[in-house]
Amino acid sequence: MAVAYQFNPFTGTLDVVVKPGVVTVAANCLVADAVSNCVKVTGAAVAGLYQVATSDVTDPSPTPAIGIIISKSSPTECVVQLSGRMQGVYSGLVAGRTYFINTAGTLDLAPPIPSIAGVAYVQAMATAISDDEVMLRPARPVKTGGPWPFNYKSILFDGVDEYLQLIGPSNLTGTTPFTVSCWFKTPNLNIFRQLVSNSFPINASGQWDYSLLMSSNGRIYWRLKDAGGTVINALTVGAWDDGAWHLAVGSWDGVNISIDIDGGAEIVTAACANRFGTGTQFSIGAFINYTGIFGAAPFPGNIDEVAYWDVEFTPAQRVELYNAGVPTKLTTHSAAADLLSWWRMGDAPGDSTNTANPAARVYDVAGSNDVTPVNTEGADIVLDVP
Amino acid sequence: MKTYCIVSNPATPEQYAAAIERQDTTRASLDGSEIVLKWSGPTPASFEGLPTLTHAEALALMATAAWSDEE
Repeated sequence: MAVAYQFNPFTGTLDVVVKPGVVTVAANCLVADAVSNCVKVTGAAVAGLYQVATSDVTDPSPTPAIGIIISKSSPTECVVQLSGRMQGVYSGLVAGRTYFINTAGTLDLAPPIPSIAGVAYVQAMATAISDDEVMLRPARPVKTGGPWPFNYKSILFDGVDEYLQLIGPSNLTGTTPFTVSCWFKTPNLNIFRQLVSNSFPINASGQWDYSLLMSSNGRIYWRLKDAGGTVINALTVGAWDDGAWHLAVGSWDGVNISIDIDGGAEIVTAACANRFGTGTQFSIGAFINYTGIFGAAPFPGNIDEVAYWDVEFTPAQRVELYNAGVPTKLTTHSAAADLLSWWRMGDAPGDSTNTANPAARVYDVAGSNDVTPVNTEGADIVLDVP
Repeated sequence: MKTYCIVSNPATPEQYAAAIERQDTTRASLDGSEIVLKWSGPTPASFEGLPTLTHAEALALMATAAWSDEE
């Protein structure tokens, strides 16, 4: 077997490192273990079968080897692949993306949150070659840092002409209740600026499906166009352009729109009985204005952890999302089942703002609404987070 | 650090090639007569001799009535 021992500086032990190449072992497993599950080797081979157990992606303790069950010959016997090219176990993959494989064999675009802050033991990683084929990487510990293990980066927009966009139909519109959330940090500059919007490609006033923006005096607007074409506004009293990180959550519950800053620090509502929908120009950090100009009102400052939810948030869910000022993994939020899109703003594998590369994208780790950077460069992804 | 420059619209092919912006993504003044371009690092040859703006200066200019038609 192609293995080597490597000193682990985080645990002070020797880890077995499986060298790249297709390596499989026959193993004893549990009846409940299924093909695609991530397992760890727990014991030496007995009668030719290694002993494996369900892995725990939050456990940073040393593990000899991690693999994926690729077949079962009986309820308690299986073949585990430790590294190399693997085909047919997963489907619906996007070539070039790196996935983190959790215990149940589902794929995540973000690494697991470890049980010990600061050290993530990434137990299985795979980079997709095609929609059903991956290159499985050896397990290895990863040292992490920052105020929260999974969030290190945001995107810093210059407020001159930089933004992210998704042109064309998407599921980021509709006529049903929804929520938009994002973290932002911007200085007092006395300029009108956009956070998140979805617009119509028309040259007419009130062109938004929805728009989360900041007025020139730092107050936050949450705007929604109703079915009759009237733009409904909820406007904060307070100014939030103080150069500190804040969370803005705009919701529509079918009766009212509401804007919530920092988990209830300020909540403003306005009556809105229905929603026009049909937005096709989704932007982060700018919008298409009433003269049809893309990239209008660009945002000067940082934006992080942007999300679109296909459900209205209760006050308690806004507080949960704010989490005392520390972003959490949205897939653990109580509304996670209704999380349609989540842009990590630099933290997702492959995220890039280098517009010299036409393929640069900021990926949607919950859906497929990847956004394209405009007028940015790679250095605009920065280590600055709430 | 980014450096900004206001040039006549359209810019030259050499200026577009040296800038972060593409010709179809540049921000123009409201009357369409000028555009803003930027780069990082040393001044490209195609911008030499032209007045440049810092980030703060570019932000202040973008907030003027010639460049912003807000709210």
